Amino acid sequence: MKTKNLLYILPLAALTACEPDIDEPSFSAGSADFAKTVAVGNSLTAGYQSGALSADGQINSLPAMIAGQMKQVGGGDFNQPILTGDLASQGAGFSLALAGVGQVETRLALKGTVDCLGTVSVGPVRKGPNYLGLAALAADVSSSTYNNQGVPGAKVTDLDDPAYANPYFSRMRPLGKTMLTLATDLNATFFSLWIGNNDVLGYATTGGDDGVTGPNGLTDAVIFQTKYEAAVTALTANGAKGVVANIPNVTSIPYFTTVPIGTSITQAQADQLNTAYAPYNGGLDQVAMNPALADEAAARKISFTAGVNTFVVSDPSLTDLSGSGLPSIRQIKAGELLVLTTPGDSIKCAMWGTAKPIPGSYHLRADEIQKINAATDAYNATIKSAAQANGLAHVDANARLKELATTGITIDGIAFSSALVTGGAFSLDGVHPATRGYAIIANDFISAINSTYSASIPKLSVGSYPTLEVEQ
Amino acid sequence: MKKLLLPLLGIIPLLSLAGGFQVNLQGTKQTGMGHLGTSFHLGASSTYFNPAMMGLDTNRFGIELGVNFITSNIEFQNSLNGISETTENPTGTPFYLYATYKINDKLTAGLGVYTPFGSSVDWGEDWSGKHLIQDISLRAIFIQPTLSYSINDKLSFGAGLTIVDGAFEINRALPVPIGNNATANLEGSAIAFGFNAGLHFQATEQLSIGLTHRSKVEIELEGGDVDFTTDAALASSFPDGKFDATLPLPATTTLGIAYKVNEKLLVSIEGSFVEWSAYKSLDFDFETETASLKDSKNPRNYEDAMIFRAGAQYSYNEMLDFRAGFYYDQSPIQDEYFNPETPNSDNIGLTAGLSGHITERFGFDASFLYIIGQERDSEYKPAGFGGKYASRSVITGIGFNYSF
Repeated sequence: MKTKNLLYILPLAALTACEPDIDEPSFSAGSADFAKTVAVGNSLTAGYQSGALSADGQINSLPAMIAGQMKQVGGGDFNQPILTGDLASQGAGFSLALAGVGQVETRLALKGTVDCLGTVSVGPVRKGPNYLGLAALAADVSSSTYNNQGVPGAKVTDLDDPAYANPYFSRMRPLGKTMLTLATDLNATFFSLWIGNNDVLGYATTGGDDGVTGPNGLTDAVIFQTKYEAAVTALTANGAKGVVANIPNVTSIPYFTTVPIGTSITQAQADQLNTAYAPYNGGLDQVAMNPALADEAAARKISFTAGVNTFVVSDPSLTDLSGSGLPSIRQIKAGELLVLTTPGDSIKCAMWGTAKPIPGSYHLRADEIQKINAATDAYNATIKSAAQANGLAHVDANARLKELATTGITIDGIAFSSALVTGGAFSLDGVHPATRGYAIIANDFISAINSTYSASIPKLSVGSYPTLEVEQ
Repeated sequence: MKKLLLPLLGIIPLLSLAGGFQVNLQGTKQTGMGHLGTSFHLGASSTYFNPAMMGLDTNRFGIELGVNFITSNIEFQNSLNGISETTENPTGTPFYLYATYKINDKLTAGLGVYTPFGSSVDWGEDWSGKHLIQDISLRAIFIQPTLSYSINDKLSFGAGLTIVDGAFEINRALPVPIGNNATANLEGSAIAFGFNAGLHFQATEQLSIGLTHRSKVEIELEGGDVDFTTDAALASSFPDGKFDATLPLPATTTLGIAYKVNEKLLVSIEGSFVEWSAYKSLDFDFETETASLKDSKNPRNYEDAMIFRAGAQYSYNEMLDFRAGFYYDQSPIQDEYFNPETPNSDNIGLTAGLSGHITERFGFDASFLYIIGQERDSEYKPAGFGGKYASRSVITGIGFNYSF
């Protein structure tokens, strides 16, 4: 009897076990005040991903993620101009080419595709056809309460442009406002400013074709400095504190690192190509008689061997020899890049890069990359000194993306890299982060704010955000 | 009694109650006094604690068996956001069974069945560390045939073979870039061998010394089953199949001293050295590798650890003994390799126990153990996941003994 009782009593005693009790951490805003925040910037601030703005992307936008964490240290509400209807679900990607017919692009989705060789694979394709959504996108839903004032496509030079034509901005703008005056009207206690990416990105994504003057031209470094400093002055005029982020070098994003610059061929294919290019090489030998052109003629010669060869591209920067019947073509040099939109089927099935040159608009030359690097360095120096001069938190997004592209990062047991689709950090457009990528950067913003303002905003759990999904 | 205990033998999800995944609950009497028993005889359980002492029993036959009921809670506070999560560990019921038979004055035979290693940690399917571990269950049942030999009145020696039935199951979320509910399930079992040996020296009527060594046992899982659940697009990258893995159960050397203060009171101290440095890495060698599925190497880099124990037994009268004890069990895990799979910090154990001698032949034992897993702030660096960990465990044990 006695032992039987004990058998029942002892396990019961175990149920009254004490729980471990780790002290609750204390979070604080430090010397900053997040009661009213404003986020100024471009697509990276708006919540753009996979080639379009969509409601899901906006809900998980970078500043919305950060504001959600700031709420734990007295942060206020964070209102966004959330898209509705088709724009919300299909996504709204604006392209100049479609503006004339009032259409927008749907977002990219991960779907099974069949290439020209009949090979089935899962890859990024538009979710649906372009649709008439421009009017709805640009429709005025302006309000004085939007904390997210990210405008996809915006450059530094657009910040104070009262005539800035952009459907994403048209939605938010009461008449006569600029991006900056709209932001300062909010009289925020804390701001974020991440802008300048498009001042170099447009140039880079179009293969550097627009030089420095076209709509996709590189912004001059001096103009950048003037406009950027004016923006910081305006945003801090009411005593607001803030965070700024620098510009990642475009060569560390998958848009420029995914498409290989060459392909492997057989000896027979090489022989065939060398025969085909023999007249071109022979013409160059003639041109080389002119000592001024001898070096270029040697560099332009095209030759294939069995194994991996770099592609042939059109290069408008070459000396025009069309008078001698010679096209401006050469082989890609190591270190040069092809953009993500280079048509893969044309390479696989239409002999682009081998028998036919790849158009220069898909190709970033060494000199263009050098211009991009120089511009990025100059912009980043401006951003850094503006942060220092105004006591603002500074996020080195450039270093973070370089780390992703080289060593990769492991967080919460998940390995991230800058590889498209498989790397986990970038969305399907190869330029904008995916949701988890935005969360990684949001944590960098929080780190910078915490250390600058002696704050302790809790960070995001990166692994709790969704991955890409395959769609039917 | 047997009817009641037998069903429990089937359920052995043990908890990590000591350094690493050692489970020190091999005798209810010993557990009641800090789990020490290397230097003084308390019954057939000497088969485990120090086989040299098996012959010290005055009876020809001795049997001891018992079971423990474990309730354990581990709390984790994420260093990123301060959010706390706790385990939902199942109640563990590790058991033991010992029998000794005196062949003659010098020679005694014994058999032990016990579970000195095991772990059962369940963090849930969707917690922040799910890509490291969702749940794990690991158990090792030791079967130990043993002989002891009394060299003279003071010195005896004993040794046994250990036959180990080890099994392992782990579930974790698969960190793939496509699809949100990908998981990996790994399961396997193996038989392994080791030994247990001891020396016992009765220095004076009051003072006795014991020394034991339990060998390392390598559980080599061959042909375990791995089962992946992924998005259809990734199915060919993560094929179900077989895997091999090796899990070392470390060698333990223990030195104990007991002192009989008077007829009623016995005090003892012990120190154990556990060679956890054998646990360098938990590697899964997949039979079918793909571009996405490579052999998985998970560094553990455990360090050797010490356990210090102190305890006392007071014989209140012929019917009743009381016990109390304390131990300090050092964690073998380095700060940068602290994984939620076996989240063991330095443990402090506080114990109490009693025995009732109902008849000359039959008695029962009860023990109570409270374990404080001290708070520590650690990270598993290879995965970039860390925070504060702390645990509490309450273990009640019940045992029975019979001798004639």
